[in-house]
Amino acid sequence: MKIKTSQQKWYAFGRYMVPVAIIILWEIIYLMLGEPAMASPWQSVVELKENANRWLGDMGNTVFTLLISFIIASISGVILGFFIGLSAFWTKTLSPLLLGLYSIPKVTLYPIFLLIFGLTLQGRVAFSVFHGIFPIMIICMEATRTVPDIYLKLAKSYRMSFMQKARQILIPAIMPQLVVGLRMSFSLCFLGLILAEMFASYEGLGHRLVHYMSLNQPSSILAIIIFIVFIAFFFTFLFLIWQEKNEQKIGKRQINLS
Amino acid sequence: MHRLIQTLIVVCLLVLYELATRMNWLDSFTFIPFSTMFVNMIENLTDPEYVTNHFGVTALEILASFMGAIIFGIIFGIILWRSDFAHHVLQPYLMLFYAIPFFALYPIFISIFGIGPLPVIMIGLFFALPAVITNTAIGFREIRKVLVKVGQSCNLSFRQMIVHIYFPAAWPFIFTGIKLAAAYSIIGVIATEFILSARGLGYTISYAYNNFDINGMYGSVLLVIMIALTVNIVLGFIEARAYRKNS
Repeated sequence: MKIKTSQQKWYAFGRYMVPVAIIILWEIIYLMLGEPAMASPWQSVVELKENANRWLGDMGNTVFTLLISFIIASISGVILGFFIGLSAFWTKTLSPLLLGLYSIPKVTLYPIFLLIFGLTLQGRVAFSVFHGIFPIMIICMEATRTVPDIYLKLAKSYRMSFMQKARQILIPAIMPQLVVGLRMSFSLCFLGLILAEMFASYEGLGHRLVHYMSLNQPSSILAIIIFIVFIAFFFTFLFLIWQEKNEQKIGKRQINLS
Repeated sequence: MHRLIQTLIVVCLLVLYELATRMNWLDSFTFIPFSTMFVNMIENLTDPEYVTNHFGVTALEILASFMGAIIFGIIFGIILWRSDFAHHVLQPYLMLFYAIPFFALYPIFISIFGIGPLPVIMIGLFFALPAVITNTAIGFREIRKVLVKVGQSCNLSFRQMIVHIYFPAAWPFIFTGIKLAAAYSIIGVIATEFILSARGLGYTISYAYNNFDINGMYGSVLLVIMIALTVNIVLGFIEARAYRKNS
């Protein structure tokens, strides 16, 4: 028992060392490349501190857009996936098509969204939704289809109405996978949004990034990347906590999105 | 039956779209008929400059990053399998990796690797790498104990174990990783070219868009989609055959 705890301490120590290693690597790359091409971690943090107020507007804009598009993507994805998943036939028919759509590089379709919506918030939201909706839809569909038969039999023997069945049995049964799907969708929505902002936008963090790229200010670029990574990690941690709670309550089930 | 309905759905959607554009239900400045897109794609591909400067470059970049991701991914996956320490330390970070919008690092990669195809390849490689690493590690770690015991009772050496037991048993998982790596390296390469590069298929799309060349844009978009779907179908086919051989 004592060996185990000391081992776990080692693991935890190793985990904390990874960010330190990354920062050291960063510093080494900085020392190798020199001033105009790269900035040191310290310079970036200073830059971040000085400009945080100016970037707050862009951050607000990006996070706001992200939340809207994530809410739209998750609600529509869950509903579509749920209803397709209820029928084994349609799941089997549609899942190859959806997986095909999931695997194409969707960035290339952003110009079409631009042509339809113009340089507006709606355009970015629509693209971000399109970018992030597939994993949650596919996972929700598969989860609903693979709800164990015995649960459905139980619902039948209690003569539950469809609404009761959905609320008491199906939704709790797919909840663990749903949370994982939501996390993946969130990441993809964020990625899509940043790409959209980088390609064509006049506001948001992605726009700032491209702006500093054209000015060739590595310290600002890196500071914005820190900013973006921080936002991504913050929300991902929320999802992971939620996932852990679910797993404690219901138990783990294997998920494979391929 | 499934195949039939799938084809029907795709064909119906395409015909509907074609009709909608031909009858001018959709704005003709935004949408062009599918047949025109296809003709544009073929026209693009007959242009030698397009093929060597854009299509060829992109294909090479995708191939290089895909291969790199497979090789390094499997190596790192094996390290994560053999060493409990590496597994426990790195696992949470691998899970967090896809939460980061990785393309943001491209300018830094340019200053490290210079302009040229290398930074694009590196972005594609890094984008695809974690999928291979996690799947390889899972594949090797979840091998059934029975199989290992069979190998041990046959007194196999470690190298024989790898060839006859570990690798075949982990192969389905590794292949899943490879399939994901194909999709991710295509996405990584095309997206990087699209936003920030001066050659390649992704660049032709953004260039055509910025010059209001709607026909050229749709031609390239269709080509990219075709590449992604073809790779997907080919890998799916290989996977189906491999499974049939195994079971």
